[in-house]
Amino acid sequence: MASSPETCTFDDSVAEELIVGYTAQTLDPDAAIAFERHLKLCSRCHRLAAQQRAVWSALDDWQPHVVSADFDQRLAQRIADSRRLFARLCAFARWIWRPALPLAICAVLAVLFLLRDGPTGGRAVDARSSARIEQQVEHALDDMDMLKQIGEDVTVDRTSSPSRKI
Amino acid sequence: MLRVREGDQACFTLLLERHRNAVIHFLYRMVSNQAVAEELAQEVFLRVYRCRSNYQATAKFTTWLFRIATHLGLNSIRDGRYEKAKERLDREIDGVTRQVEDRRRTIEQELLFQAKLREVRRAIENLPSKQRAAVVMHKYEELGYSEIAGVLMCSESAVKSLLFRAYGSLRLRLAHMA
Amino acid sequence: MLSRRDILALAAIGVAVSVPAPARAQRGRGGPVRTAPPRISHTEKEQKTPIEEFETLSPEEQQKALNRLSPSEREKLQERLKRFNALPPEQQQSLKTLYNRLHQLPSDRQDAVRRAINKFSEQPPARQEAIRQKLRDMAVLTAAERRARLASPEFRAQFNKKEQEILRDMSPLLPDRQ
Repeated sequence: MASSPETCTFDDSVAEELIVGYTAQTLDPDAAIAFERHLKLCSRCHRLAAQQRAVWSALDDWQPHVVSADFDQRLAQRIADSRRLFARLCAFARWIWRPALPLAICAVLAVLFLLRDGPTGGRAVDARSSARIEQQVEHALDDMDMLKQIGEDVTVDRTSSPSRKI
Repeated sequence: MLRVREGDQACFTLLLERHRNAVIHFLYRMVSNQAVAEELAQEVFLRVYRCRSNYQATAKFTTWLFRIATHLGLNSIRDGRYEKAKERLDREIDGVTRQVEDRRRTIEQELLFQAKLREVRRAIENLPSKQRAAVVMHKYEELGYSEIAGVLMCSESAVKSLLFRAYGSLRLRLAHMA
Repeated sequence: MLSRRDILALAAIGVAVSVPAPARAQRGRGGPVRTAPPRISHTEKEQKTPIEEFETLSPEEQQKALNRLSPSEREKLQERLKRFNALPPEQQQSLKTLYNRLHQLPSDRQDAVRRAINKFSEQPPARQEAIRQKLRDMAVLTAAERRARLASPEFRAQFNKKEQEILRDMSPLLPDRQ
């Protein structure tokens, strides 16, 4: 077997995908046979495939517990309870809606007034959103990774003025 | 699910029958606690039931189902309910609740097996939550890259990146078990 | 002791405040509620992304936010931010523009765009380039011209059904031209 990494004909990401697919037995038969031949020649892939098989086998050992016998019954009870609660809320709403309606309208207007954007146009990060800013950043990076695939030139509005720097 | 939307209760029961175990097992491997997993799974199916009248068949039902389950599982991990469950991890393995013992193993083999299991669970728990979700879906639910991308609402290349980083970490931790 | 009027007023305020909450369960992404969509008066380029919002925080606030993550998640996020900030400014601006366009859409349209990009990434490279070229061609058209182009027999002859859906669903990301 060749021992030099330079003999590997695959780049890292392709090799990784093949190793994972080979171990998971999701490669199509021709690809699997071709990859097996490659493993005989490439020490790096051979080693990684052996490690991946060990991981796969170790993960196989982690079997789930038996589901509780009363799971369905508990779920049915929760659904029935939520239906009863909903029915009670509807009955309550029917009782109070007339006097509450003008008050509700005033309350909605008050809430909208308090939540409107200030002169800074929403630039300040409020306390609640700042508590989750790290998660928003993560999601934004996910979206950026996804959007990179389209290609930057697609975004250009060729009739507009040159873009401002960030 | 479309028949459930039209009010067919028997179909909801059938859906539950078909998918209950997969959802619970997925959540169990996310949060490492059977009781929490069942509680979260109850919430998943409750939401499916509540949202049945708004259901649109724009994606596979399992994609939608696992999206709800992943959302609840990730929130549970972030909220730290998972942390409290983790405290019980060792007690659960060493104490009463244990994966079914294989009577063919000797006591020593059983102890080694349980130690190995602890290591596997810890290795999965140490993965960042999204990597963990991707691995559990890929390995145990046998979802393909595009379906996992549909669940996690990201691109297929992002899923591959998550998975390959996760498997790379797992190889470092678990490859000695070969 | 509260009078009946007080009770009714409190109930009304409770109803009014809870009005925006339902239907969040079916949001596509597991994660926190996003900040409100930008006002119409802000251009796509001016509206800040969460990444920019994060970078305007003081170092202490940034660290506080990062400390809410586990060490491995924190390291991963910092690494990703570093990679993003290392991109050329033009590319960062383009991604920001696309991001803002995406997030100005209603959430179900956002999901449709994400699904379309997933499907796009599954296409062979040659077809991806054909789709990109069509998007470039449509970028200079008005919305009405785009609609006409997408409905034309030439378009249908050039792209199969899946590719047509991808292009239709991705077209909201194109520059807004009247």
